[in-house]
Amino acid sequence: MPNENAKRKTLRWSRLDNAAKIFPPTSHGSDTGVFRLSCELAEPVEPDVLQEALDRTIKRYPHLMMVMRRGVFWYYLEQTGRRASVEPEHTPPCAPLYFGSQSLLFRVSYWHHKINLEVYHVLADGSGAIEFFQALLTDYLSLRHPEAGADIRPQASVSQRGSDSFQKYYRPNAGGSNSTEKSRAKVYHLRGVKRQDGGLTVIEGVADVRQLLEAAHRCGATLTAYMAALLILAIHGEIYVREQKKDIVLTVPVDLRSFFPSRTTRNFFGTIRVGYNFGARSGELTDIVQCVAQAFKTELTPERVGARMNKMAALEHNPLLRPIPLVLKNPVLRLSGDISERGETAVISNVGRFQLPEPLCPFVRGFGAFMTTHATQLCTCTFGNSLHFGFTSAFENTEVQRRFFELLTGEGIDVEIRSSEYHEEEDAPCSDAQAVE
Amino acid sequence: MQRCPSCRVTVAGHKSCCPLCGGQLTGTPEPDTEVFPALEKPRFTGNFILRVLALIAVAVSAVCVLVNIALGMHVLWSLFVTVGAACVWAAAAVGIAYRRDIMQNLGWQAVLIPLLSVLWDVWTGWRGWSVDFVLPCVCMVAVAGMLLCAGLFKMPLHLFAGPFISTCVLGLAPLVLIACGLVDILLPSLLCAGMAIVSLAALLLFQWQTLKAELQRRFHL
Repeated sequence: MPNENAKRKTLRWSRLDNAAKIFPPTSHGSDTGVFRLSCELAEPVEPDVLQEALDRTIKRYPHLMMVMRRGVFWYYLEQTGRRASVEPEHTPPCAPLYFGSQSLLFRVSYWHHKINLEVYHVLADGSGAIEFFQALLTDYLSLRHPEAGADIRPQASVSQRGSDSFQKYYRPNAGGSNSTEKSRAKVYHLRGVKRQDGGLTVIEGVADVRQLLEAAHRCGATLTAYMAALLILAIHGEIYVREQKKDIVLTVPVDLRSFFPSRTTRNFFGTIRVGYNFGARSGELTDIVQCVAQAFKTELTPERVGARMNKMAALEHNPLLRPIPLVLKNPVLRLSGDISERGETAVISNVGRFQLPEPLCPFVRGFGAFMTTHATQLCTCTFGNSLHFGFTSAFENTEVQRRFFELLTGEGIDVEIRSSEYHEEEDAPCSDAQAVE
Repeated sequence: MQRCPSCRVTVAGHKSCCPLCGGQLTGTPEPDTEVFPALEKPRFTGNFILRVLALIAVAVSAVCVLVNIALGMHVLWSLFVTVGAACVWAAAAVGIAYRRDIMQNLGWQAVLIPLLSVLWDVWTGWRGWSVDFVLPCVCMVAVAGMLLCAGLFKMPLHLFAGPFISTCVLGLAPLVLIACGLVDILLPSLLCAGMAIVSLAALLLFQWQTLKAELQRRFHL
């Protein structure tokens, strides 16, 4: 069987895309570089059916069946013959996935009514993972409820999904200048006691998207700008008076697929930064919303986004940097990651809208998204009329989250809170809520 | 559903305190609405085992030093025990660090153990036992161990080509040492070099395509 023999020898592999390169050296502590998408169903999960659905779906996403290996100059992804198995949820959200060259870079877990997909960012970004997760859930629910008669929607080809769009759209010498970058005041950093277990404090909020849209429209803002403004206001409550002159800077990931036609499920995102200075401006919600909306308008143009992307990609294409061995590159990349983190206070990421075939929607209650962070991050996503806020934080205290949800409820929005924290003793004394005020 | 009167939010599941403000909750808990499982605390981690081993090494060394002092310090035998304990701990640390990858583990042990042995040999007045016996024997055991594991676990070559080739190349080092006149007892060194040469030749002759592809991946710019 010469053909089969030849097949066995051609092992599929790929370079890490431009955005993925930063994750291996900077993944440590609570910042594991793993993000979680979760789906709450209307009925308990059937593990055997989920496994069958995963086996089916993964065949259409072969580029997810990869392990990460160390090369001399760069990490790379290599095809693996391991089987992806569903497992009961036994790790905290966004627990590490990379333990060496044998580890699969995604995990599908379940608990009661919930299915989780956790992905190491090296493999895919939020949009890419959403596509896979939606396909997995469609397969699962179609198997579970064949009577629903859901039709599988047309998909991108396997090669489209596995392509590296950073390479495709990279234009040398098109990085643009820094002249439009505003010189910023010092950036405020959240402080607090980091969690002893090195993990994340996870708080999820669920609200009705219609109530939120109404509140956002009252301020004349889009939903994302409104939520960013609320987060800035919530963080402001933490700032000491002597630090008022510092900027609160939010990093906002941007899906580059909105600017460049791409069907890839690998990383294809950039980031923009939105800052607000309470010392220099009024601090009113409407003013923050205006400032954020203006920043979005300026930064989210194809030219600016493209220039940023090219600037990032230029580093990777630099002929002087490429031949440096990985052992030496790693500390440099880690340092550049740390420097970049110094320029931000928190991250807000609107993961987007989850969509399933109409007949399957009644079986799903909602979706959630969480991302690891060294400080505090808010991921939002919508499904139907429910909007999920996934707060992750490396700190023990939950003041920013409390203020954020307080601002929401102050606008008359009903919020349901879920938390991964359990207290050992059922009768553990609660702190006095008044004292916090 | 539970409710926090202070934060004015409803709280899913069965919580004893408000996750936001830590205040008292009102209402009836609904454990069925919980969306996160209560997780068991992680058992021993690799770091914990390393710390335990370090503590044992320190305790053994400390006891030996104290006994050595109590019995009179004519011979500093406790120093040997202390350095020995440190070496054992270093080998264990490598073992734990690469516990998920047996091939890497064997490869790094094949570097570490001869290296530490040479240092011991130099420190205790050069008698050459480290290069006569330890280096060739460790290399042979590592190469044989890798082949055995590859057979047992049906591991494809590309997954362990790196450590295997490195260990084979290390296995050629005794030839260089013989040429430099540093080896007194030739048999182990010759056996080791022979094993390394045959293994490398077999790799190049039968697995050249796999090796070439692996090198392309490993060295891509």
